Amino acid sequence: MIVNFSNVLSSTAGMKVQAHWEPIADATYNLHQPTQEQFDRLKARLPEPVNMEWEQALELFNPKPAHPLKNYIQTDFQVFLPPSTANVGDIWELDPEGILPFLCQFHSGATTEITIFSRRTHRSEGSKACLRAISPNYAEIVFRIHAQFVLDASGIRLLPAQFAGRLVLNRKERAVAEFSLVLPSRNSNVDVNAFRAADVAFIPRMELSTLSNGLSTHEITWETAITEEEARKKLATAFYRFAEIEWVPIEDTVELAKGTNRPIHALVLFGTLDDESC
Amino acid sequence: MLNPRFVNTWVLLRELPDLQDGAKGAAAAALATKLQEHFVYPVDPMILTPELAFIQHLPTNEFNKSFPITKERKSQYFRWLKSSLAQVDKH
Repeated sequence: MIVNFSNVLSSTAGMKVQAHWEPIADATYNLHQPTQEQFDRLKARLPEPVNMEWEQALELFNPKPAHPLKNYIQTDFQVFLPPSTANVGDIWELDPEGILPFLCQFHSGATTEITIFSRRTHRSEGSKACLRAISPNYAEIVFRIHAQFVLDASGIRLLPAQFAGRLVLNRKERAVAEFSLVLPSRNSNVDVNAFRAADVAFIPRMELSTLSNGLSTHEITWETAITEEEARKKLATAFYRFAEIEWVPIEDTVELAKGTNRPIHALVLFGTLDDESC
Repeated sequence: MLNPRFVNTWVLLRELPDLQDGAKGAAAAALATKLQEHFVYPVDPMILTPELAFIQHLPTNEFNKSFPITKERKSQYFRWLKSSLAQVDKH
């Protein structure tokens, strides 16, 4: 079933989106929580002077949402829809300019340009969406955004693993029924960069979501659909070719290897394989 | 080659201690112990037999130094996988 999404959201009606951003709960090297002595040592090894006190640094690493509650208009969400027609399973690119206002609800230093050790890394960048399901009244889109947050002028940066998003569109009312954008809550899910050092950390909750309108969008009967897992896999594969590999959870690996008499190909990593947190 | 010929898995370095303590069962604990034993920082692909005999590994920093041209790495990794299969067969 091909659906035309051109200018579906034309209303200027308001929609409130709430933001949650919890502090870092865990990290490998605790770069976000240095002691005064560690902080002074980090500063001293930099060739350029850093105009920052220890207390300021501690605050910077654990910001709160810039706008805990923000009002959008329906047309703001058009950026997540396909540019014209789409079928279930189709993937398209999202316009970075259009998604930036949503990321700036977390922090004004949000950017879709990703830098690793001061070098722009184009292959890490991008935002893509997939049409997951369609019914005569609704459409569901899932999306994946890669972005980073530049927290101050000295270049302290947080690079979240990804933002996994979901938008349910009420086609009859030409309005957004539900919207969310979530940093997956797995340890580790954010790369911390500061003072020319890096760390992998865990933020338990960082998300945007519309206030509940009483509609349970998980109970919609879809006419054509793929599972959310399939849609997420399609998005991952669009970013990384290695996502085509069948990765088996470690707890199932030995049994499967013995059962199929295949050797084990195991990767041990400092940071997560299939996202941008390292 | 990876899907039909290998069982592929990945794990975070920081998760290895809990896995070794049995967080996800005895088989995962034994595998985690082997991986920890041979791991070279920061990323290390390893090949083991289904009985967990260690075949070989390819520490990434050394690999990248040996093959600085990105295009070359793909074919070299493929060669490494093929040589792993040959060694597994002899095992």
